[in-house]
Amino acid sequence: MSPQTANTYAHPENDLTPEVNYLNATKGLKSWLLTLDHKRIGVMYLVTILTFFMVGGLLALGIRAELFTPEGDLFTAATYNKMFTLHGAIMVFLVLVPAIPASIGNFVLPLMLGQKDVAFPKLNLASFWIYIFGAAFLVFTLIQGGVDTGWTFYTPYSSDHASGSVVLTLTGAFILGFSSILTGLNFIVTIHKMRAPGQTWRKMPLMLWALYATSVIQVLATPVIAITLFLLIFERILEIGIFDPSMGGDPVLFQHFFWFYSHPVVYVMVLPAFGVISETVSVHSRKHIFGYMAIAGSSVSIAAVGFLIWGHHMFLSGQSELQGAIFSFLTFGVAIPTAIKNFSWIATLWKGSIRWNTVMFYTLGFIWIFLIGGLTGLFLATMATDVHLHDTYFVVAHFHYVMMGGTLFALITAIHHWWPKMTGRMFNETVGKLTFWLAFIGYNLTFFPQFVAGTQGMPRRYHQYVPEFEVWMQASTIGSFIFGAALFIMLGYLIHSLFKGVKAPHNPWGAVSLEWETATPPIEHNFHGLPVCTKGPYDFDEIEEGA
Amino acid sequence: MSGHEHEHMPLKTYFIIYGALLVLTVVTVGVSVIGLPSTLSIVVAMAVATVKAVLVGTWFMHLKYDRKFNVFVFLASFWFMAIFFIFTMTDLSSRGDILAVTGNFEQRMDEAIASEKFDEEAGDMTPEELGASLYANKGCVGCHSLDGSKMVGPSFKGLYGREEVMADGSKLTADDAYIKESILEPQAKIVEGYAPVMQDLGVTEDEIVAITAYIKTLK
Amino acid sequence: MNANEGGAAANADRNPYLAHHFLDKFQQDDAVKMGMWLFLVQELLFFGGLFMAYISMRFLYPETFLQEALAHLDWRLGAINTVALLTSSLTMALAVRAAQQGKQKQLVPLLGVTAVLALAFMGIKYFEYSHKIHDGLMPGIYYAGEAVGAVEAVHHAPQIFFSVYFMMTGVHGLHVLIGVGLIGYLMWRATKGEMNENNYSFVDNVGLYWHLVDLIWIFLFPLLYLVK
Repeated sequence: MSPQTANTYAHPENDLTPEVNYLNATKGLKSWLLTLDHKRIGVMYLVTILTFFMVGGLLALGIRAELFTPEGDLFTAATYNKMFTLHGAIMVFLVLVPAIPASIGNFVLPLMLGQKDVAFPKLNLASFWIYIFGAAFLVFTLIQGGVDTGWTFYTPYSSDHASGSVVLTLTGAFILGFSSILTGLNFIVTIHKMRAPGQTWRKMPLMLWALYATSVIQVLATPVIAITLFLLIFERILEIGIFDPSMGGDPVLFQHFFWFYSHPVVYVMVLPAFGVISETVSVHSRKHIFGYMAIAGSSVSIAAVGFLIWGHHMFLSGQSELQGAIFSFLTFGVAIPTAIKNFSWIATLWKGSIRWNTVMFYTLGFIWIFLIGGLTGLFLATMATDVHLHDTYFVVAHFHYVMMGGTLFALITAIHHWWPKMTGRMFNETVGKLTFWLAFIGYNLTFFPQFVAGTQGMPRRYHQYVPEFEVWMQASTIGSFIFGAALFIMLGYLIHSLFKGVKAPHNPWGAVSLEWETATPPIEHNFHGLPVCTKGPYDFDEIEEGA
Repeated sequence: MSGHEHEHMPLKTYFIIYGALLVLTVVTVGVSVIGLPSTLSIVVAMAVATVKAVLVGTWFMHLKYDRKFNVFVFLASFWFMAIFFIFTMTDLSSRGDILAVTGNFEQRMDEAIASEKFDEEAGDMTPEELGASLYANKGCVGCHSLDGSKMVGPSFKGLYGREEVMADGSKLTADDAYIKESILEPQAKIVEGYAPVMQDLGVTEDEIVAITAYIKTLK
Repeated sequence: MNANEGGAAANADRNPYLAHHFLDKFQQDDAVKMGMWLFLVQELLFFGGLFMAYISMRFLYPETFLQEALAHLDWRLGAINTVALLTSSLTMALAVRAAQQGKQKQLVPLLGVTAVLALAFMGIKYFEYSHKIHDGLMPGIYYAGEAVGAVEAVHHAPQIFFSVYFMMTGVHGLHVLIGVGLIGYLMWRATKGEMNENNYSFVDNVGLYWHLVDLIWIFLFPLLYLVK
């Protein structure tokens, strides 16, 4: 079936006449807040996540503004510490972890599987409200005056010395963990038990493989951070002494607890990003994905290996040299599946009919940025070079390239790719492409100079710095404001498209995965009848005809 | 499939498993009362507990009749827990090299406590004030004068930066390192004309800094 | 190709316990069961952190963990609690069986016995806790066990042993209490006849949860009370 006639399940009459869709099926605030529809929950997540992204982003701009000059002239040191702590905590716990799985993932997962909903719709809504409840704690911390522990909450500073509402922040992060676990649980069960007839594991879109691997990490790793934060709360209230050296505890043990979750969780952030790129790179080059099983397998193996390497955050924390060497060695292992993905994407582009649209621009932007982020990770994984680079701006640049450049660029890619499906409108391509260049240049200008400053020894988390670094810091600050402006323009043209955008056809990109076979926007129960999956998610047949 | 087959699990099986669990509880308590050597004791206790867990999992939780994948999921959680335990304990048990340098855990705690006590006592005092108080309390006052007069040991007046002649005839200038060494190892260098009688007074590094600062003020 | 247009007739004889987005009851039960196992996985890893704390602290302070465990924890109370939980696990398993076979008359009493045993467990825990609090055998800075002849705080780290003890048994006790709540809710639903052979997966899942709570205690008991 060609994309033009693909909307078999969209509408019995198979035409473009407007029908009742998930957006206008029921009305009123309550119909949104208490909805069990995965699509509405996904949209609510997306709006909430983007709101928190704006809060975290404004904090980041504040930090950059402070660092424009070597002197600490804009904020006091204490305020600065609170700003980077909240920036980190909000970005990690409220934005990056749920960014793609909970918003885009929630929206597309049942659609891609040809199902009416996820396996446990009530649980899905519950995890959204748990997220809001946890987020409320962090917002309350912000109003209370914030904390200055850094998002990592290292003991003994967090347990004994830090001022501010540490317990409140910890409770918020603790609660947010359960939202993450329940989303992961829901997705695993849905993918296992609810696939369209004919949709074997090998016929699933790669986005689903990525979400599956992500969910496995969420279920396995998140409970450990929950108990870690739980113990830390009691460490702070009762001084139970497990992590506090003045009570006989072991602060390095805290770091083991913390990173056992917090390293795998970077794959919770980035694996869904890989999934998105695997979709867009194939759909927008109109070519079957290269190395389907290699990409699917690498998602799962990244999830597995991701559990074995947390100690590379602790090379200089007093961890034993032996264990450090083991962690260093294993860390190199994770580069292999990641490289497999990168090569597969590039091979997919090779001789494809590349469509030079906004989605493709962001896809290529992602591949470029993630390549830099991934390769600089190898320097940090090497124990000897890490001694020099540890806690410098090199690390800051590295994880922003991976986390923000990776996850955020993929989120933007995903929003643009599925925007027509979610909203039923097309955004302005020209503005979109121009904005991409602004964002891409701004982004690289923000973080590339930080690599240089880092290798020259500029430490992270400093409020003031020596004048030698001024040129790099100023370039970075200018870049960050360009990037910020690009994001606001993006927000502008996306909102504009909601009201003035051209009505989207059912399948604007000519994709063949199941989510494009229903109406745009989808009807409340996704499909009329039960879709049957007859071919793979990347079998673009008209390309062969044209070639 | 799941949930239908084990309807046929006979009632008797439940009671056999329950009986086995009770017997194993008696075994584990019995072994503890007999008192095996510590390593053997924990091995036996954990082995018995594992057997009990397998009994509960297999029959009470119906894993025997459940989908194989659910069994895999359940066992996977133990695998990931094992990764957590093994890697962390490898670190903890191979930190020996670090302990050799920094002292064992108790020593480090002693130091931490001493340092905390020092902070408390020091309060808002400047190093010089603290040094003056230590001079009086640590016993320096018994042998070292402040007015230049010769007592059991050399006077502190004008000591800092002064050139001293040692018992072995060598000369050196009194600086931070010299004062520190004289406090920590009193017998290392003896000024000519004095007896090697000073004891180690248990002065900490933080306190030495304060005493040195105090000596500098005695021109 | 539209395999199931799902007309009104089909909806009429749908199982009332079948959610709209599942094809049939089998798919639903299968999904629910797997979801429950995944939930148990996260429970295990949550407790895994506590076990990690126990193992590492025992490694750092071996003498204390052995002496304190023997001197101040009464293995007899621990053993009674073990038997109580094992018995409740049996009655829970029998309750699940009764629900599956639609034996409503057995279901409620079996659940009742389970809940009573769970409360007995908590009663003994309360007795143990109040005894320890009275003796000053408390976590962290609240430790004051010297008065009853326990080792001095800080150096031998008895305060850490009691921290680990209270954290492990406290989190476990919390799970027991949640279990009692769930069992109570089940009893209420069961008296209305809603937990029958067509709809027993909730009973089944509470059963699995309850066995897991038992399973964790099976490890806690020797580690805290017995191992010398």
